[in-house]
Amino acid sequence: MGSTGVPYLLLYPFMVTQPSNPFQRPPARRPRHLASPRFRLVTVWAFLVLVMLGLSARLIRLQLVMGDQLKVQAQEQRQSLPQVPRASRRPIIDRQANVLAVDRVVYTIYAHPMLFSRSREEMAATLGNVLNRSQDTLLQRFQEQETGIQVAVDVSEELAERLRNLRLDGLDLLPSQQRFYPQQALMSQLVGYINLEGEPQAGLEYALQDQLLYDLEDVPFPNSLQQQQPNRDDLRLQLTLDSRLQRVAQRNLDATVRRYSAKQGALIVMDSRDGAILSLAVTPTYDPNRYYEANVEQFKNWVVSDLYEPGSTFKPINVAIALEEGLIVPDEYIYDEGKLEYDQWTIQNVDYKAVGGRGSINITDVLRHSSNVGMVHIMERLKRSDYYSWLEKMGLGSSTGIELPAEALAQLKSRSQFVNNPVEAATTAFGQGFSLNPIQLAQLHSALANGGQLVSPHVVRGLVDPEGNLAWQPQRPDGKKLFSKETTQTVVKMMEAVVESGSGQPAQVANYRLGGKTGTAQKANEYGEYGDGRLVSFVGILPVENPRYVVLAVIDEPLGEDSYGSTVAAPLVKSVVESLVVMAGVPPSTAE
Amino acid sequence: MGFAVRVDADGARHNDGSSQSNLVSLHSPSHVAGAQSIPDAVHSPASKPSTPAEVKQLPTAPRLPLGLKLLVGLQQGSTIFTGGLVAAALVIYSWTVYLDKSVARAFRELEVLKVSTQQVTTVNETLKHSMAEQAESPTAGFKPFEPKRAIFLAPAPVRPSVEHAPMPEAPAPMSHPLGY
Repeated sequence: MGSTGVPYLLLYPFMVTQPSNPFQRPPARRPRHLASPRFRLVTVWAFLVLVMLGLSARLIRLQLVMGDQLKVQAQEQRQSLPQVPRASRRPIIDRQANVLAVDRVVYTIYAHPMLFSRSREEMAATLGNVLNRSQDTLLQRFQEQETGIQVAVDVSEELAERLRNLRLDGLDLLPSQQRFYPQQALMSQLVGYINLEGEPQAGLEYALQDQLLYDLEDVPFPNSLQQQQPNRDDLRLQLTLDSRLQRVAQRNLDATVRRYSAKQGALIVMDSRDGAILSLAVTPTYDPNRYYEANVEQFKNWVVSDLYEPGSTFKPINVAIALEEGLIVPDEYIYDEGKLEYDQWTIQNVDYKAVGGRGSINITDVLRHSSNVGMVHIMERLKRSDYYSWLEKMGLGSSTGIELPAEALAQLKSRSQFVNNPVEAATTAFGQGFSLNPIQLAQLHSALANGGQLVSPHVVRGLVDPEGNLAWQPQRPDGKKLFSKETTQTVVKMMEAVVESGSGQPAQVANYRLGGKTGTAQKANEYGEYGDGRLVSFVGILPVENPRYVVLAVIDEPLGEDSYGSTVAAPLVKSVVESLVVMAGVPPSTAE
Repeated sequence: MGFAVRVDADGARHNDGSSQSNLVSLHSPSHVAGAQSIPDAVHSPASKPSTPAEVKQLPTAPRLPLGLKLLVGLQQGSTIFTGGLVAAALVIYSWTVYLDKSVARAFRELEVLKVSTQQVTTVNETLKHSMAEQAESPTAGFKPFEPKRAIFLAPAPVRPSVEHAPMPEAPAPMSHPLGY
């Protein structure tokens, strides 16, 4: 027993389940020689132990010494497998949860005729059938090249699945992520687009790319490298826009722009209570699914990225300033001589040639007839430095805070130029000599509608879960108070008179009390002089008894002698207001 | 044990080959022949093969020292323990493999569902859009929203959410007895 004692201990860990070891038997009495069973047993045992030791050594080497290197090698091999590349993004939805942008997987199909297991004719027939392509063209292409023929692009998941189920050899289906915009051109100026490389290029896709991208998560596949992929949670980016209203607005805007052969146009519907934009129609527009066919200029949303001189639509704001400062009382009379001389500049009413001076008129009539001279007289009472402070307080020159990218800031003259030069304040009185973007004008009119609060215009509600609860919301500053409620009520009533019996009559909607103001501004040409180009606009506030909605239409360079705010923009606002009151459930105003 | 062995001094000396005389029956003499258990020490070994009633002592296992006994016990215990560990390891290993696999399967299913959700969403929205486009064409016969074709209903005044059962009017507390 002594000779087997030590090896037995060695063997022990490996043979736990065999406690009865042959070597425990009493030693045979036969003489030792080569053929003895004991010798053979020891030999076999030693051989097995050696093999085991060898295998263990190899295992240790593979695991501990070469392990990391082999892991890297394995990863490299696996990563060459086709995967769905590119980061994917959360869907964008509108107010009613209609989808405006969503990711989808599309396939590019490559054929390698050298790997076909069937005849090329047969393959061409099958593929042509599934992909709805001509068999002859396919067959011809199969004859030309042995490998790497691109057969189809943007193939849907369903078709790819059908192809996969056919189990054809020699076909490659490469998946790729694509952003799909079901509403096509309807919201493109807001939503923007993702280019073919998967990079956001415009609109909210660009401005909110961090919120839209999914977080990455580890993939729980066994025996796989810990690759990461987007965690497709069910959060979606909700906008404040209403697709139905947007559709109505876009259709009417397109029709108006076409009718007057205008350069561009915009229509904004804003809820003045919080600054939420219900509709922002812009023309021209493009289909973000086929952005590469669009004109580069169409990618910018001119409502935020272009400035214009607001013209007469700014007059109600000026009246509100004067009322707030106590410089005028609502039923005061102002003398309108029809024409004023400021140094070498002449300021006159647009209808001076036809009507001449109007004489003494009240404030409401100044707005109703859109009297430039009357406005100049009102604003002359305000110290020019105070006037400039008011313009700054209203946010001219700073961002409105809208989420859309590339916002152009309003341009004012410098304070010294404004204070020292009387004509600057005079032109500002009727909305010329400075410029702002249409969104900002809508924001200022919202302050008139909501009782004097300067709200931040916005198109994004936030990230919402399927139940509609907010998971993330953009930070917005609390609006400062510009005017008192009495002031705004007075101004809105004056604006109602404009629609009832003034230049805004074409915007009248039966049974509804609408306040409004037309604007027809001369456009400065590239030399800084006022040319023939016009920019016509109309801003409406409704309902007057409880103002809530602000509708602003701006049409750039409508052609024709008869293109004014009252003839072009006011009917457009009317058509949208008619849909708005039905959709928003604004009841008709009770007769006074 | 119905027998007892009588050992006396002359028993060893006058051994004549029959041990019969040495046996004293305690109960009945008929059973004497079957007696076999006689300790070795009292008989001379020379007499054993010749006597048919000679009883052979079975070899008893040598008593192991305490230390060795402990070690054997330890070995057996650890064998069972190791067996248990191996079984547990196998169970745990197979469980982790199963868990991994089932997690992976569930993950794949989830991915497939998400992809099909995307597909359904895409198709649904495309259909909605094309319906809206068709509805816009004047030949479709749809009318745009207009207030004169709409009916506005004023919301009914808010009613108490809980309908109170008609309670019998509580009798007014009487501060003083009423006389009739």
